[in-house]
Amino acid sequence: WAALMQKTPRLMLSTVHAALGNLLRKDILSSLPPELSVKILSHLPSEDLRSVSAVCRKWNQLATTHPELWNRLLLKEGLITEDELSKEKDFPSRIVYDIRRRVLKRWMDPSYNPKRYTLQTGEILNVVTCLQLDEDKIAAGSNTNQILIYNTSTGSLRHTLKGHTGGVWAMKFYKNILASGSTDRTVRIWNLDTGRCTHVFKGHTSTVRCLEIIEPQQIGTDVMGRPIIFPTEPLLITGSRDTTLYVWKLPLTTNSTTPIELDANTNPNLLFVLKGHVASVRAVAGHGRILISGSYDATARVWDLTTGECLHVLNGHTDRIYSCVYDVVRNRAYTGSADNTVRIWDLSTGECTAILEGHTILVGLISSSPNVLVSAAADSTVRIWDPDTGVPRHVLRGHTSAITCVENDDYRVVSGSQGMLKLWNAKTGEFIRNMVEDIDGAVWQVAFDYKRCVMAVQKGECTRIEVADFS
Amino acid sequence: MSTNRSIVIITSDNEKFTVERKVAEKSLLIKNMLKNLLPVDGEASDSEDEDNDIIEVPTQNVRSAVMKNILEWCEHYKDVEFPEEDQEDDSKKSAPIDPWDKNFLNVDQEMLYEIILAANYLNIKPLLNAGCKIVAEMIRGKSPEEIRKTFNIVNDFTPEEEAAIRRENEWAEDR
Repeated sequence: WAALMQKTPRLMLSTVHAALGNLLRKDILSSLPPELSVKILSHLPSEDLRSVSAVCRKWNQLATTHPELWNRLLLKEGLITEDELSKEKDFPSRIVYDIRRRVLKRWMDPSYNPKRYTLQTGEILNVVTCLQLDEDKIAAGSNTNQILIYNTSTGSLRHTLKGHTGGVWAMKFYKNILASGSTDRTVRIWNLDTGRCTHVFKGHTSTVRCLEIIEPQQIGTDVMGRPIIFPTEPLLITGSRDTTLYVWKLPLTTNSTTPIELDANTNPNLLFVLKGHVASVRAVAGHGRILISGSYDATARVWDLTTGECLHVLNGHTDRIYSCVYDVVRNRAYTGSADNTVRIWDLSTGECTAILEGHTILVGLISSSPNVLVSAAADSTVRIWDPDTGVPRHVLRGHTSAITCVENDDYRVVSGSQGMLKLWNAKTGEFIRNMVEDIDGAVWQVAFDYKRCVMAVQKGECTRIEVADFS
Repeated sequence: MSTNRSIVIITSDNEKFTVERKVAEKSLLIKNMLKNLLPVDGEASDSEDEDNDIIEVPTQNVRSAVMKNILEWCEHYKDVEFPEEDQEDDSKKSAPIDPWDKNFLNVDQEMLYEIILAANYLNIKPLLNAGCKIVAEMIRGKSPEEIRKTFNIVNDFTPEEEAAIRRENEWAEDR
């Protein structure tokens, strides 16, 4: 062989070389065992997987029938949360991916007209103080003592929750259990299947202003490698103008027709009273064993929910704290304050690691998603920051008065102010569209999921809840 | 001194490669085999004359031309400790291929295919990962027709199937 090649002219060798190269081309992907083919494809973005699916039948099979490829992209691209993904597991994940991308594209297209419907509010609704949605229901709390529960897909009113004797200023549901807090100083628990109040928790001595529900989570593993779940049952934490936070076991709903009224000293559901703040508790956020509270005393506190102990006092703001967010992944808290700043706190040390400056009046609202931190202020701007570094990315200008509500994910920011409700591109900071054209009053609350945007707005004398559906 | 002892690897075509133990142990398959055969220092309970034995490791799935390459890789990385974790996170997935690996894997497609298979069989994760990334790079950014040319693949779709796939893909990717 070697001798023969020595004698062969170089030009011919070159020709042979090229021909050999072609002969050695091989369908590596489908020759390998499927688990290796999938491993290779897991390095590629969706555009390349599309091309792969169009190569030949075998490659099409590989690109379309392995859900892990598309699940990975869904999570990596922030198109779905782990929670949502587990609920979608009956659908082929490539289809879920396609739908999410398509719906997202519609959000980003200013000329697309979503389906719109208006929820029946009657005459009772005034200020919408809190708003939450899932696939099944939309819940809206109001300063007129009531909470309205709607069917998400039809928009019809399912229940009117009556019982509070003061405005509802805090509310959250978990599955079919809703917890609410009011100026009447009570916390009420409601069964959303029956629409009845099942429990009244007393104890707070002033308005219940914020609340959080902590779902059971795996918070670690024990020495045997078994998962440690905390809490074992959902917890309800309520924060009040009375400067305290109460930690309750969220009671399971009952079918009783009359609510069980419980005083703090006889309530078996009351686990801890968290004391330390010296002014109104305005904001609360938590996950697993960690709880963050923000107060008008200009401090935030970090609490351990397993013991009720205060782990850190986050000192630095010079005026009231209005908003706080707990970033589980980065082990940080973000706080927004009347001192015009947003601060980032490292929860392992309790140190402030960054002061985000730029707003000129009260930072009332903070919202975050895995890669986007958003703040909104009374100075009529919304600002987007890098959650890793605190470096400013974009200032969203267009509102003409104080921002009253803001929500975001990695793609979208929706913000409201008097007469305006705007959608922005969270990555570029560009304005995309007005979500509602003919508002002449306040925009109270906004909430959205990947396909629906729910907006509580005032038109003339009426408060209405409007839904825009991009699916 | 069993740690320094040489290992003889026998390939499917019966060729023998004598290498240092730590080179051979880049393969977790071989490492685990040796763990049973040859305890490391301090644990050694067998008599001294075992040092004179030749430890032969048969690898019936790998031919010599491929093994030669694999051992070159193992030799290069013999003093590098790779984490043994199985879970690959996404940051690792997007990390660029090590330039040395890239050059090392600049071989014809048949050889690349065999190296990937062998790295999988011998359980050499970093090499397997690099090989998979190289193939992914050969696909990245190419049209279906360019991919077919690269890997010498015949388009076996009917025109109807092809049109249906194109429509589906356009629907989803039209951003």
